[in-house]
Amino acid sequence: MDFALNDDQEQLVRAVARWVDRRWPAADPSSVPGRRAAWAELAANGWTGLLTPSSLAVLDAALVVETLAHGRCSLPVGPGGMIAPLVAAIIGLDADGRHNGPRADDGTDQLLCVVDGRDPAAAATTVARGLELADRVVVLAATAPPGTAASGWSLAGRQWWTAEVAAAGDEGWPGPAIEVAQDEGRTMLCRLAAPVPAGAWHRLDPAPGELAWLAGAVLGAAELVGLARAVLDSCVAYAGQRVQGGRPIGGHQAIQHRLADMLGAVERARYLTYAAAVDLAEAAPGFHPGQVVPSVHRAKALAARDCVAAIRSGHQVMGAIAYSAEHELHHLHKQAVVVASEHGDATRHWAALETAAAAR
Amino acid sequence: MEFGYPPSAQRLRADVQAFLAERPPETWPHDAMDGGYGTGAYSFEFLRALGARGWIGLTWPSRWGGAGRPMIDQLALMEELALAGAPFGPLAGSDQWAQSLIREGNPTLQADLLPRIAAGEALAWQGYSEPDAGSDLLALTTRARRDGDEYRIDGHKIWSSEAGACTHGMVLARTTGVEEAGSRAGGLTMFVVPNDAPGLTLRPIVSLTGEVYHYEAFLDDVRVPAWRIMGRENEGFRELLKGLDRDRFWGRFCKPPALARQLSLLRRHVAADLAGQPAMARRLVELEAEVDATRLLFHRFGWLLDQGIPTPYESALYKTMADELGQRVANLALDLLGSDILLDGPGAPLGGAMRQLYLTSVGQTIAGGTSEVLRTTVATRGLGLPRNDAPPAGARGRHP
Repeated sequence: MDFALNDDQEQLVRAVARWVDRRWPAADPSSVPGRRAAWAELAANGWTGLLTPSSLAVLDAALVVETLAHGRCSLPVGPGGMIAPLVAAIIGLDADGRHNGPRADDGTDQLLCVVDGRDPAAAATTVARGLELADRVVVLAATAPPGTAASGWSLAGRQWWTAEVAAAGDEGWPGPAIEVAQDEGRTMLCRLAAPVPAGAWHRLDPAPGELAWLAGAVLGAAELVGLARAVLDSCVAYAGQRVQGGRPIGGHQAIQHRLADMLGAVERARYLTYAAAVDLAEAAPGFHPGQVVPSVHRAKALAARDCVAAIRSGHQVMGAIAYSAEHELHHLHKQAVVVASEHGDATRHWAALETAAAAR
Repeated sequence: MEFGYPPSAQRLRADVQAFLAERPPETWPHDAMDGGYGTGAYSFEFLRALGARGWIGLTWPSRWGGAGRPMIDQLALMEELALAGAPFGPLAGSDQWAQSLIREGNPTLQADLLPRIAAGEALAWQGYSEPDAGSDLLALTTRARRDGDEYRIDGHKIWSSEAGACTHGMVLARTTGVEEAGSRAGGLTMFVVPNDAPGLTLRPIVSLTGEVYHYEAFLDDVRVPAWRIMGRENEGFRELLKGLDRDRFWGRFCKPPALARQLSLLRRHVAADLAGQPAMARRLVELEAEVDATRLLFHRFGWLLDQGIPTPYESALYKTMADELGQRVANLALDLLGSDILLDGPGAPLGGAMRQLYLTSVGQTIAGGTSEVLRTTVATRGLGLPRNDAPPAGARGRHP
């Protein structure tokens, strides 16, 4: 039993924190070129290549994602920077090096995105973040066997599919992704502009497909933890300096107790996420289709439920100022809402646990 | 990061399982009831059996007859006992008492008590709270005055858990006035008072479960020799604070595994009906996840203590989380069982285990620090928020 990060992980977290502290503020989150440039720096630092089919360093990846989110970085590093390259590598798409790492010379092929966990037939209507930045999109889809919906949701028995398409338009692909949700000039969500061409689909072995999806769930939990930590930090600072009635509002028990509850929610999700990352990495070498890794489902479900709730609670602490568009909180809140549904929302993960429990 | 137990602790878990398989938890006689902390009922026979295996003094230094094992082994031992529902109620308290004796006790006290604690023959109750000194412990009024080689103690303690089942009380009393001591925290001294000391009267308080967990202690000119002071005179409160984090840790460490066991019992009990109750099935998996995550936080807390890393807020936060989680589990049991949850004796669902869980959960968020006080501790010590001891200048209450 050891809850300390090792030296390499400490160094990794420090480096990512330094980057997000110094470099991310210089990137314009509402500018596509600005975000792409920031993405290129992340990739150049090697932080988007931490998951490979032969080495699933899930804890390292989770620490990177959490630290970036804690530093208010809104790039979809988990699904786009880690899971998409992993899926691409599983089916050999990275053989020519097109899909990993930046191509600073011409700015292409810098980004892959995942549209996850949906039926291939529905992929065209699926929304995801980062599509507006992508040159090429990796779609990860799973088909449930007949009758699954009636008996509860689970990964078991699904057929896994993946496809790679160009986002910006090339053969068989009509054009860029369609923006469907905006946030003060920042694109949050896009929809694929057209159905994935039938010939683009590759059948994926279930085990790596499930593993990639579960790894995405862990990274989603990590991002939620990072966002909730950022909001908690802001709320604590605000409560300490905002004076009303002659005293800081953080001296009132009503505020203190709300913040104490936020801390509890964040800590519980945080350490469960770390445990899930370790469990998944340990399960990976002998992973078999349908294998349930309970901590992964628990981590994503708890983070989606509790971290989003903690962030909502932050609005109450900050009061009216955080209801304004100029305050950062709504950006973090909306990002958390999106992340909570990636790679399975809380409902799906609870359902996976119910299915597993019923089968015992 | 490594979240599992090391091999030595795994072997100990196997030993505990074998011990419990030899004689299952339900076969041991109970001497006092389970207060709902996850450590089960008091069974002196069981405690002596643990002592005979060297498991009471598992982590004590060898010079005190201990096995010198790492703290993580003790986590494994306690967790295994809790998962099995064993009656090991006083084990954590015994160990904490022994640890403070080893740390602060004088040689006479150590020689007198440590061998008896290790054998499961001596137990202590805490005489801290008083009728008008609960959350504000420093308001206590129990006095001890020096008289030759003795101290004479007068006062009234209350909410002392299982005092009647113990052999000694740890009684905190004022030995120097506040003005002379310079602060309310100074001038307090901890005494080890034998239960058979003349002038000490224990009155059981019947709880809402119908059982006795707490006692009132009346001290009427109780004479205690000076060597029965624990630690230094007038430093009792500071020494109490030193052990508080560990007390709170061990006081709730077994709660998550015990809740895991109770959820497992509940799941088995309602398994046939669960498919038709999707909302209940959902609450079950949610609570199982919360229990698992809270157990992990206590493992982290234990690791921090073992590493000597400061824990300014963890005991307050994790205790509150565990207690309130226990109440949510109890609420689920109520919703699944309805009013049958109050049944006792033969025919009670799950042998009355859910009755015990439900009723004792009411007191969990009060005993050992209320959730309200502890949340304030988390906010001030953990988050660095300002204390709010005094009203702002010019403030005046509107009500007479």
